[in-house]
Amino acid sequence: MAHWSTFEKETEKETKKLIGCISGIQDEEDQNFQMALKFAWSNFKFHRYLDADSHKIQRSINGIYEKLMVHSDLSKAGSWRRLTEEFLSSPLPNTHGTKTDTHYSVLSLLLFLSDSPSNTNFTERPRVKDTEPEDKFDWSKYLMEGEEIETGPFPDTPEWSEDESEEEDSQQPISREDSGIQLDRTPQEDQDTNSKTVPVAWTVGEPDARAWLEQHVVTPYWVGHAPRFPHSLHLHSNLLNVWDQHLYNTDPLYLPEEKAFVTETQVIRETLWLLSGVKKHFIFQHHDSKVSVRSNVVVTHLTSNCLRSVLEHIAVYGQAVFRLQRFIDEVTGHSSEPFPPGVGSSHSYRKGSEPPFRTYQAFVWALNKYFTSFKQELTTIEREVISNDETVTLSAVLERLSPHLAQIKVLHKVFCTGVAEVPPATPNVVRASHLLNTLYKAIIEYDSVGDASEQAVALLFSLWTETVRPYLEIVDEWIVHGHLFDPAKEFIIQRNKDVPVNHKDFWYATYTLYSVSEMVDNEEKLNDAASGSSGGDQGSSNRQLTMVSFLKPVLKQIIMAGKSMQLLKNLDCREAEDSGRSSRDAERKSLYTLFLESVQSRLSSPEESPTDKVTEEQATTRSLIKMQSIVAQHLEMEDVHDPLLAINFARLYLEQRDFHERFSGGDFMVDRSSQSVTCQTFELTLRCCLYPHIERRYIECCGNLMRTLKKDYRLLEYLQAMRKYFLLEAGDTMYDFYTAIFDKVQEKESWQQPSFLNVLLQEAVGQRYPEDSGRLSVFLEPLDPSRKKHPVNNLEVLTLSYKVPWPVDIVISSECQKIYNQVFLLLLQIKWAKYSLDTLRFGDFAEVTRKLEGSPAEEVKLKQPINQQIHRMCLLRVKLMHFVNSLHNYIMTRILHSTGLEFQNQVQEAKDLDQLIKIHYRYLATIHDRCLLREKVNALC
Amino acid sequence: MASATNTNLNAVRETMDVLLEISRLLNTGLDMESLSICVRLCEQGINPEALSAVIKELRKASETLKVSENCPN
Repeated sequence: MAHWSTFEKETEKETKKLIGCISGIQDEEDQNFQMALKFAWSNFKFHRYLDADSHKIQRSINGIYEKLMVHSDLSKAGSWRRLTEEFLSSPLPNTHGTKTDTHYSVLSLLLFLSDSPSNTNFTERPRVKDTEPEDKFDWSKYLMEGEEIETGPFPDTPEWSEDESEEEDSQQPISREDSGIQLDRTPQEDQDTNSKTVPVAWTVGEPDARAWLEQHVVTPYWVGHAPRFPHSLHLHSNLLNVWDQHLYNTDPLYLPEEKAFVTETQVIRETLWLLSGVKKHFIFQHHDSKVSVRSNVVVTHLTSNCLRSVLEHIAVYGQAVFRLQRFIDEVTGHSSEPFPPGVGSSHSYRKGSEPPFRTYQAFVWALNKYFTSFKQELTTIEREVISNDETVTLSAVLERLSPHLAQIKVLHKVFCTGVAEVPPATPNVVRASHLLNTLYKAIIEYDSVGDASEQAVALLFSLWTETVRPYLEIVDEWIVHGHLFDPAKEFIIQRNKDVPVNHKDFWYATYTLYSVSEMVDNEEKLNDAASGSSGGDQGSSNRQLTMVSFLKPVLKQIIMAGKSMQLLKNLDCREAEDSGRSSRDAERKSLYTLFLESVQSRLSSPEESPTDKVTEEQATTRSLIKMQSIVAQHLEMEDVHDPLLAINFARLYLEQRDFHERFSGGDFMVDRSSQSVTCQTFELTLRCCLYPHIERRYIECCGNLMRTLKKDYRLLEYLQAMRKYFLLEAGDTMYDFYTAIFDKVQEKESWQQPSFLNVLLQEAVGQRYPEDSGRLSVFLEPLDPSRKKHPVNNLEVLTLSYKVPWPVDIVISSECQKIYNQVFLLLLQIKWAKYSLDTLRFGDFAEVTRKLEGSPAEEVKLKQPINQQIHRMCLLRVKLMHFVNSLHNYIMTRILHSTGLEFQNQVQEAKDLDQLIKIHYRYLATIHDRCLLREKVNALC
Repeated sequence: MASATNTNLNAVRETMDVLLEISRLLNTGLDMESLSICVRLCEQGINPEALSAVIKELRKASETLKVSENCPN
């Protein structure tokens, strides 16, 4: 039955077995069997019995015990008691714990089935307890793997070697008996060297253990007066002694000093340990951060100076490794030694509350990856040394490690320049950009050397790509989501927290570009004006400015994209496509991934074609589904039933796994041979792999912003409105307005009242453009007395203002409005001139001249000239009118209209907001100039 | 670790031995196999009284069956 649960299926199985056992019917098809099965099931399911009660059963047990005692069956009673107690405290196969309900139910079953126990003969059978199988694992062999016992060169002939060592021992002191100083030999040691026993200080109880230890523990060469091991007397093996003897013979002042003898294998092993970062050695000593060679270590086949020079060469690398390892530990927060309170510069000791400095962490991770592979190599070598299949010499080991050592040298150099030499109090911005710059410069330097430094370039390139990851992630987050997330303040652009998005200075003051000044020659000055953001200059002007050099070419686009994105996020975006885009954000490849993919495709050989896109997608979805089910199971184990969480975890794991698979550290092989024509310089790589993605994003999002501003916020309409009212393009409306003012001026009435002017304006505008009447207003400003030269200048008290909503006021700012106002005033003055000329009449001219002349006697004489004068005046008036009209026409059509058309064309083509603002300013500057409003030309007006 | 499961198995085996002794003492007539089946059933939660009723009934029925098989008249 398919709907049965697992429990029912198992019970069914057991029941069938039971029936088979008890009744003896094995055939399941038998009618009796089926009937029995049905009977059993109906009883199991529909019984009316109570559950087993532990107290009742305990009472029964005690009762039976008493009964057995009463029947004087002491052995049985004792067995009964013992057995029941043992059973109750034993585990059952599928139940946890003892004295559980299951125990009691089993006992109750047996009690129910019991059939007069007192009448049966019972003897307890002894039960044999199984002992645990002995662990046959040979721990000694495992731990002491490969530790050599110095058996000497001829282990099969032990007696002979003993003799030989005796001889050799007697030989050497002979030559020095005069010196009287025999530091490395004492009489009791002579006896000890023969027996090869280890002088252990502690006593062991059993003699077996001691013998075992003697066989499996290495001779401690690091304690003083260590027993000497035997070696051959051949010249090559005995060079040290021969040389000592020679020195002793030639130099009367030569004093042999106490030496510690080691074998070459031990030297090799100590070298390997030093290079893997172990701190305590015998041969190499650490003081502060310097590694030095202990002075009296010798091997028998080299002179001490020779050995010392070799070891010192190694010690340098050891020091580099040690320094790098310490840096890694500092950044990751593991410090093995407690720092003394005085030591601890700001970058060596970090409090836990500081935000993580991601660039350093990424650098450390890259270093760590390198060290992991290096240590693997070291371990392989050590295993070979241990297994002793072939002879391993120190020079062979060094040669094998030489490429690694070269790389360590490169790393150390980069580390010193990029990290260690930075003064402690520098801010994170400077440190991050300095490190990236150092890596960049190093790559270019090594790149220019050519093929010889291929490995170094590959290593540095992989290091650089790792270290640049946080930077690119910050950039990516900013230009895609408009959110600059930088807790450690390591990015060169900082968000100004005081300026909210709605602020009128938002576009300029929100982000500060941190320009780092360094005394570096041949660096170009950063052009702050191009980006339109306010730069925080640190340093005097004669210092050169530098910043993260690899971002320099695209910095402007990044800034534009970032600011536009942030603005867009805060605008009420009604674009439908945005929602579609954001829902697929989880599948969007980050900038870093795109960058790495491009790099990989570029640097790998052309024969490897990229995998089929379709199958790749299918594979990813399949693995996603599989991963999701695994993760869901894990979550359900912790009682979390959240399918969305499971999917996201799955995605995360897959991403990481794919990422590591595809972009593991040493994969970047700069293949020069295939690109002989176009040289694969680092900058070229960067240009092709990083910048296009940034530029694409920049075009996309700035275009988006432009579209939004134009469509949703009617940017173009507002620009049009500015031209309508300030540049008098809406001629009829503004005519009503200014004619009313001129009428009042003509009648010499007071017109300089804001309420009157505003009402006039509202009336004029409200007739044809009711939506703008709320935004326009007139202000009066007191006029500068020096400018009151002509009556026409009286109009300069007027200021027209148009309220532009955010975000359009980023483009049409208050400075722009001032310029618009100036042009407006000029136009107004021209209109006033025109108006005055239009309304000029010479009707009262005769009375005026008569008043001037005074006496009526000359009336007749002057009548002729008065008419002439009037005529001349009329002619003058017409000429003036012609002039003013031509000027007016010229300004309105040739200058304003044509410039306006140019401006509109440019606005259509503007790609980002900064460009738009610049275009706008340029337009205003043009009309300002052409309307002769510049200071120099002002005199003409 | 293998030894832990080994010890576990040993402990369970011991328990079963003890149980067998108890059942012999009580003269239940169960052998090792039936006993282990019963233990498993009890662990699965079957009521012991019901189970004992079933076993008794089954025994009775199989006795009757054997008798009827032996004497087919």
